[in-house]
Amino acid sequence: MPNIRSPELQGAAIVAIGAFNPAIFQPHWFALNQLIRREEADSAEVRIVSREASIFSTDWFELKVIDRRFAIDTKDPTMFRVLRDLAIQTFRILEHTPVDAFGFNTERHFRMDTDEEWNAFGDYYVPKQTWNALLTRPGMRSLVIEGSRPECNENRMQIKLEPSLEIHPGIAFYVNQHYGLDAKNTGVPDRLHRFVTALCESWDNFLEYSDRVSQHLLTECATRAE
Amino acid sequence: MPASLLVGETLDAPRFVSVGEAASPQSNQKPFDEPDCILPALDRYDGDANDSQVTRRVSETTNGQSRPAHKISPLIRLRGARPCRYRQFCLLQSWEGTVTSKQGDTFLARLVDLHVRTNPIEIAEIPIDEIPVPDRCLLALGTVFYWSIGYETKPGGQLTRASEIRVRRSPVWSHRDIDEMKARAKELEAWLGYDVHGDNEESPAPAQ
Repeated sequence: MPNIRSPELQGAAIVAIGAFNPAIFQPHWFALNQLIRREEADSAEVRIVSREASIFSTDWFELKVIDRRFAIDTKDPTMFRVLRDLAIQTFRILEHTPVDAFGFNTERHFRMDTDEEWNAFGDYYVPKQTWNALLTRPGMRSLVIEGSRPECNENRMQIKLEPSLEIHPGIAFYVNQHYGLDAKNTGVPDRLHRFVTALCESWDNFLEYSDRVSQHLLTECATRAE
Repeated sequence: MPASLLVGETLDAPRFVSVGEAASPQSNQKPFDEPDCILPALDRYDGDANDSQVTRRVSETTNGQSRPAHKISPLIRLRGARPCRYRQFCLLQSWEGTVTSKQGDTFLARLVDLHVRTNPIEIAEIPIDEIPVPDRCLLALGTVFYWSIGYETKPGGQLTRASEIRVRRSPVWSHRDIDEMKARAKELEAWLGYDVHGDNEESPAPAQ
């Protein structure tokens, strides 16, 4: 039985689509509202804060609010739950923000032992026989599968496999859990409430699911190869 | 284009090829992250026809006498355009803790295993020195924190065992949250059948 692998690199992100005021989202607003440490605000790297866009990063997360898109992400696996808390507290303060959709995202990068093992993974999920008639040396660049989870009330799940751009030979797994909110029939407070509730109740489960996705896909391939 | 990119050399994104095929130099290359080089690199090509142009160029510079090209590494390498923000942390264990009491320079906490939820709750006595200085003012009964233990690999390859605590920032309740809690309290009042404010004559007698 193949051993459970640990990801070498990980990231998580929370994305919301709606009507935001990017100028609000600056480091010291977060510090003043006790959402991050004052030291983190002081040392934040601010790329831009304006009416149209706000982008800054601290030592553990990056925030991007551009037009109708809000995104916070972290590449520190010890901070996944802290990221969730930050999003919850931010939108508890901004309780009148219209949110039309939101999504949870993870990425996990695993290092394979050999190039052969790396190639075998791609060959398992995208067999090359069909493509050999059309291309010379076909290779899987990206594989996206969409569906839903019976135990979750999200609208759509998406799993993406790719060769990792961060480590080689490596495989990257991207999992997206998307929620659409009925902006026509649901008021702003209810939609925001659904967003915050999902963060409180579903984020942990989503992280566990993302772990299962990568372990299952790696194990399936390795088991067949044995 | 970086100065080191030579004719005939391409930068492809990595892609899986079929099992049994040797990975080409291109498929092993990392995506564009080429450092800027002060001096151009001259590559060695052993009989690769695609690189005849490079081989000729080297030959021309040596008075027409063909001789094998030698790879000369640049003297100075600058950082790539995209700094890596990933933290290489192998998480061995993590808990969500709740402060139950403070005593002197330590505190007691109730720990919930975040990896195996079915594990029993544990109690730990933790020195306050373990809490980051900016978070110590937040430490009180009921404060929630996250405790992570694992190995961190620094960019230079050094492996460090790390134990980190991060205090959760105090929740800010929205008006809606407060209204919902009040409504829920009223439901519970009705279900329990007595008025917690003492107006109802049927309130249970206090325990003796």
